[in-house]
Amino acid sequence: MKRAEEIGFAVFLVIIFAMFVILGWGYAERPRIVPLTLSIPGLALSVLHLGNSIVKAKRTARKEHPVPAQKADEKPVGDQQPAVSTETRKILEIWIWIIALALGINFLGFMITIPVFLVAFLRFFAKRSWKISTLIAASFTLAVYLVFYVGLRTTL
Amino acid sequence: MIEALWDGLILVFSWPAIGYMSIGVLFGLFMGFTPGIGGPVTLALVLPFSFNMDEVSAIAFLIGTHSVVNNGGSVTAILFGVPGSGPNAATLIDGFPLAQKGEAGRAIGAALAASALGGLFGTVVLACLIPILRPIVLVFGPPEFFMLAILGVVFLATLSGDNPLKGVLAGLLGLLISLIGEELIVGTKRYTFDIIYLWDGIKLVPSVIGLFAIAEMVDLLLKGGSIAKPDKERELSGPWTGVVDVFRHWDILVRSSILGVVIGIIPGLGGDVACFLAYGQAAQTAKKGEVEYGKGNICGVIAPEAASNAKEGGALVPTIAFGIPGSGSMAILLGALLIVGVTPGANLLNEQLDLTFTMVWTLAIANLSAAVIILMLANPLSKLTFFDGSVLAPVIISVCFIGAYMTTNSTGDIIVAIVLGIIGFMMKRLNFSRAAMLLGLVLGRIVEQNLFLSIRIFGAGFIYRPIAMGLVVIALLVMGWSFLKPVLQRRNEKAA
Repeated sequence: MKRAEEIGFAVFLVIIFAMFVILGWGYAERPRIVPLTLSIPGLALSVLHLGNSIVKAKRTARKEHPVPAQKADEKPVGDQQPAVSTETRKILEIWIWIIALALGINFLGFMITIPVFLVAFLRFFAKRSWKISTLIAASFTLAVYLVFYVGLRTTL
Repeated sequence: MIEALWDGLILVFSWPAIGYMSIGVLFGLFMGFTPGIGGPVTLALVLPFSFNMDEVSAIAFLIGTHSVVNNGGSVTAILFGVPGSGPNAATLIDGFPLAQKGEAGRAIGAALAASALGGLFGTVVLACLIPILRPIVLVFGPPEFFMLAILGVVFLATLSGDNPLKGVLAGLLGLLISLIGEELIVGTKRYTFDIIYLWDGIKLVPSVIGLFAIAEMVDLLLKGGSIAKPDKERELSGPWTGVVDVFRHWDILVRSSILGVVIGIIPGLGGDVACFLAYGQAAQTAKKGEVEYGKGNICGVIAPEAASNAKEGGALVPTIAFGIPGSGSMAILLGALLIVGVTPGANLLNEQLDLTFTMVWTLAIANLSAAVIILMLANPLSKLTFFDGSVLAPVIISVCFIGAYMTTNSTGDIIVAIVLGIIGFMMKRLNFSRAAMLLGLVLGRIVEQNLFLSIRIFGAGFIYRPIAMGLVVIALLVMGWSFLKPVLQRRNEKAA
């Protein structure tokens, strides 16, 4: 999983630096000097890093799973790992919660979204009781209200 | 001058100035605890309350509030990996790993002691420099700013640990992201994809929140358990051990304080640079056998904290002497001073010298007060690191989103925090230096702006100005040393 992440992130960096180079080329002379001065070496280094990551991944894979000699009519053994590991699923779940919080804030505002988010998260992710979840959510929301709306006289 | 010094002290302790200062200190600490609400935002929030105060009370209130915000931000940076503002991110690099080892108390004690002593140092320097301010401030121009920013970029090499390639990539990415938005000289909109929010560029506060706070909270939720996972066989040290550590590493304290004051005096460079430069110079002088920087070295907390508060005294220098604010916070303070009838300039250095020393004394007393308050709370606060992360994290993430939103009251800042949070999380998992990326974000615009100004004013030979040349030499030495050091270490190990 770590190898796939390394290569995935390295590809991401190559794409990002390439984007900075391609878009930067389209600007006038002065605005593009510094972006190109930074992005062209960045692209070169990110390609180097991608190459390093791929070589390192292959080397590690060979050490962990040396390939046995196969007969001509034998089918190769498939990958035994599940398509999406437990850890990946958990990471995605956490980010979905965070993005849901952001969407809620955008459409419903802080004072509705925060207590709903806290109750739901503490109950369904952290597996706390309804009582504790509601207590923490209510206390925090009250604190936010007192500090920002009453104390600082700002609205969120 | 001695008389003005004494009069300034009496003014600070007079009523209601001392009362307002106390309120300001408590409020500043509380605001510092909230990610994203630091520095300029805090001052902007309290500014209206100062309009009806007399000039001494207004000075005591505003400077008392502003000077302690970073202290509160350091505590959250250490305890939760959530920096209160940009300068606190440098403290987080070693402060949070210390908390993970169960040594949050020690880290907080060191941070506060370094901050208080650094602040005192900056105050003393401010007091001593008052008679000779003008030539010092005027000697720095765009070439010197450019080279100082480049020096900060060179320090990226010291933040990348074992893999310089990853560190350089992170730094370059930060530098490029800082260029998003309207170009300062011609006005070209770069990398904005016709999104109006991006015209102003990527803001620092949501970036810090995303890269560090949100990434750390996601990591905490993934790994489960509490923030602190101490080694059961080691006895945990408390805040007073951290205070003693500061005196043991007095050389780092002094060097970082000097750096902080110098950077603070220079208008326009900003406090974030001081903290990272201080961290970088401390990492450069790491001794053999010490805990590696980035893995819980107490000097990695002492250096940025000392610089962070020392720069406050330095930043007041151009603000009160010339009316040239050294940073966003100083610009707000300058506005407040003008509103209450205090005009920066020659007056403050002659007839109203007692007011100037009121500011100096307020800085010193506020810093000491904040240090005492947090030291008393350090042990109970450090117990928070033993709370279950799955309960702590959603609360902290909610606070982070509030802090990000308050930057410009735009949901775009929340989106930036999430995007950089995802990138920061991957960088943490894959050992890329987020500090290097943040430093790039801070310095990118400074580098570009001052490069073009230098060429326009001085031509291509701007690099030959004495101070700029001196900084070039230091940058080359630092670069050379960062490549030579591992080679020498390997040779010594082979010989041993």
